[in-house]
Amino acid sequence: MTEGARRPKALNGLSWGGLLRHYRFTNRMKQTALAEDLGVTQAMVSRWERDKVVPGRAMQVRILDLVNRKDLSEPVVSWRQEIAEAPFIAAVIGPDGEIETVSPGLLREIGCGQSDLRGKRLDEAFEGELPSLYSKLCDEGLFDERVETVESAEVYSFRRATGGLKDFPVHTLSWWRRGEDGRPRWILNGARIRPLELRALREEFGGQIRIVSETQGLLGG
Amino acid sequence: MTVEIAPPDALPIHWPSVIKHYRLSAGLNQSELADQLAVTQTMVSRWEAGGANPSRRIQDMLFDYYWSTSATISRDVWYERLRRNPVSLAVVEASGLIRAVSRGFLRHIQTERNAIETHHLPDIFSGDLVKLYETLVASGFFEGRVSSAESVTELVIENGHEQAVHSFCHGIHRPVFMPGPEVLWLIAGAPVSATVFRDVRRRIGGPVLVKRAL
Repeated sequence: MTEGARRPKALNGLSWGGLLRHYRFTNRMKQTALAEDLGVTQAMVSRWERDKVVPGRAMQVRILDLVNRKDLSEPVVSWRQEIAEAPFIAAVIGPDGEIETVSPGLLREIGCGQSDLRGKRLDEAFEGELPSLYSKLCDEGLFDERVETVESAEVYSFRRATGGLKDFPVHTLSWWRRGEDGRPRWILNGARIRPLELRALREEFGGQIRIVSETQGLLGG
Repeated sequence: MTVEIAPPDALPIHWPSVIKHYRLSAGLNQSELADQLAVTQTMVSRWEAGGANPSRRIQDMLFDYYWSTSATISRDVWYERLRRNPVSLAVVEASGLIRAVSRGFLRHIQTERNAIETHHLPDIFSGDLVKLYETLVASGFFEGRVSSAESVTELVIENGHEQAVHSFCHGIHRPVFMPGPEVLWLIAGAPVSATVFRDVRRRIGGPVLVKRAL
């Protein structure tokens, strides 16, 4: 058996050393730059590339990550982008009740597309307890930045385009934050619950909503 | 049962990633960031090249900048709100210790708060989530080298002596920048159907997709 045949293979028939060299040459990098990306010394990279040493298991993951997904980097995402990517029920509602941002989790729950919700008024897209939550939050002063966090339990009733309603009970947490224009927005997070849990939560809250906290602890707005 | 985990309690922050990532995200050049931090452009350049580490005061400032991209509330209020949240959220340290979980997460995995908070993730879960934790550690997540990750996992919990609870979970994972300075792992997830599980796995090309900071 030749020495080469005993070398553990990393990817596409290349040894770990071969893979690192291939990646480094195609990206026109120096060993020091690659070492920097992997969080090791240049000497370590040199030993790996000559197949003197095989990278440890955790480092193998990092190397494959780097090699396979070298173009997958992402800037810091904004709070709104976070909501636009949330796997759970989440939305940003403007002071006039306009649905500005909806999460994939909410779309999935309803079984509709972005265009069925975005840009519409809350009471256009839904009827019943969700629009009434909006009114309650207005009354409590959420958009005047008076209350900070509000917990609630309600049935969301989405008006289907084909007529009829899509109903599902949700445990909701609401708070405000200022939008890009400086005006307050209502942020909601929610999880679908069973009808029994809805009843239990309402007993706990003594109604649809419970004010958790008044506005406090801000980092300069 | 205790599982030995490789990483120490806190991993050193990789400042070149953190600084350059923040700077490019904010659309600043080196001298503009230098102005914000009241240092010279040469200093910023040296930090980004790994030639020097920023002082503790600058480290705190940078972490506050990161914090303010998503939150306007103090970290204490944030924790309180997180614990109350009806969706599935968890905050995990580099050591694997689960620092805080949301009410929704407890409901999702049918567990009491004191049975999970301050416990280590590999002691509570098995399978996909533990592998995800190991992948994030290996990707330098706790060193500030990762911007976000998306996953679809089968959640398996060792529920005392009872049988494990299985559910499919779609998760988004982001670093949270805490004083220390310390990077924590915020899990934000939702239970999903087998169909959604398959669709997401196809879209992201596997169980996890890591997006690097740079």
